[in-house]
Amino acid sequence: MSRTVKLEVITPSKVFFRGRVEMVIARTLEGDEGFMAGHSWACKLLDINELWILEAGKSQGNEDDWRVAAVAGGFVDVKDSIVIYTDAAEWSEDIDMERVLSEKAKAEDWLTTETEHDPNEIAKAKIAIAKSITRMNVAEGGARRKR
Amino acid sequence: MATSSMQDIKRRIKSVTSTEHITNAMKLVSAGKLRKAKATFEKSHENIHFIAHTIAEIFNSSSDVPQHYLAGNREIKTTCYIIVTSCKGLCGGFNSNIIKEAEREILEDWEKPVIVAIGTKGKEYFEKRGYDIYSDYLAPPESISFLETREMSRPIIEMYNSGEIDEVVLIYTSFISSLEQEVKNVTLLPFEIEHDPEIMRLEKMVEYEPSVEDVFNYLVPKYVEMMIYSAVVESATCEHAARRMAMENATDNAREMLDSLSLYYNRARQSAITDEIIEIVAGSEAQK
Repeated sequence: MSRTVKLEVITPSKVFFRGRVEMVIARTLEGDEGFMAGHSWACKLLDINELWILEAGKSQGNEDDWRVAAVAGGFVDVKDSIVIYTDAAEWSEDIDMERVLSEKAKAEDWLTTETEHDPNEIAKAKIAIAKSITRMNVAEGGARRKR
Repeated sequence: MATSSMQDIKRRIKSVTSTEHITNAMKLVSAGKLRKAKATFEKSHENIHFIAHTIAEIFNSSSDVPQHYLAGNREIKTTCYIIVTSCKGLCGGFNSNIIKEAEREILEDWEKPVIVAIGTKGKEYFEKRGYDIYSDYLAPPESISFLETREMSRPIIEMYNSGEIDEVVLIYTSFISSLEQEVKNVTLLPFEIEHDPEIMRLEKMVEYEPSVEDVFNYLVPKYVEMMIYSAVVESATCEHAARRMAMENATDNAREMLDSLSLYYNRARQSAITDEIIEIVAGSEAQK
């Protein structure tokens, strides 16, 4: 039995997850990073990507023990407990595939058809696409499992 | 004479009764809205405070905060006031309290303020008095989304970073209970680091990724967004509470008025009757 650590995942509208975990894997701006109990104190920014959570006592040694969620950027604050703040988070089972696909199509359409783009708008559309891709991956159980 | 005053009183009773109906209905409506707003507020309040607290803790515990976000590193000249009011009236002293406080703050300042108005009431007031409104948000505050606050706070942060403004003050109404609200003003930027003895200064090294500046350049705007969002949600709750109170008072006053009016009416009617009896009696006496 490995040590566990308290994890809280918070969005502006709700507490998305709260509980003890063995490990949580998040994509920081520099790449995937796993956080376990006793991690050195840190404050890192997260990319738009998947969040993998291994809850305490659920570990059987295979990939299905992990819960996967899509997060839309944010930061992780590691102290004696781990706090992840994100603007939006969704569990894989809650993702509405149709909406994701239509949003992605809309953003792509917009990027390819219009000619004069404001750099801010382009960045926004790119973020929208990144979010959609993350959601699609998460809905299918995460990019890692697909491989 | 007596009949005309009776008619007058009757007419007044009628108009006060219909006003009472309206205020009573408005009271019920705002009570319902208050319940809804309070639920949202309570749900988001905990999270947002938690987040704001986490961020504040990071600020307080770290000595690596970029200097330009800290108090005391530049002279405060231009201040940006974010004033949260409502879009509708009939809510007692709600808007005037906010505006009074905001105006007091603004007048203390020599420099020309930059005003960001949330809600039409504050905007109209300051516009009429010749202040420049930098930006506004005029949709009903209870329906504001987090995304919208983000759009709103971005230019403020940019202005702060470019040095156009040196201070950001948020003035809003904070919710204490359904019967009590309080005007609060909070300085969002620059950040005042309080060396709270309760928060232990962290001796441990903290890893920042990608870099200290990047982390704080993300956290500081986030903190501002979060505070604005929570202030708007809180103020919407207060607005409904204040309106419910105002409407309740109006209904009570109307009822009181009706009571005294019906007393006058009865008196007038009685005196009319008495007059008539006296006339009849006097008439029959004269016949004898």
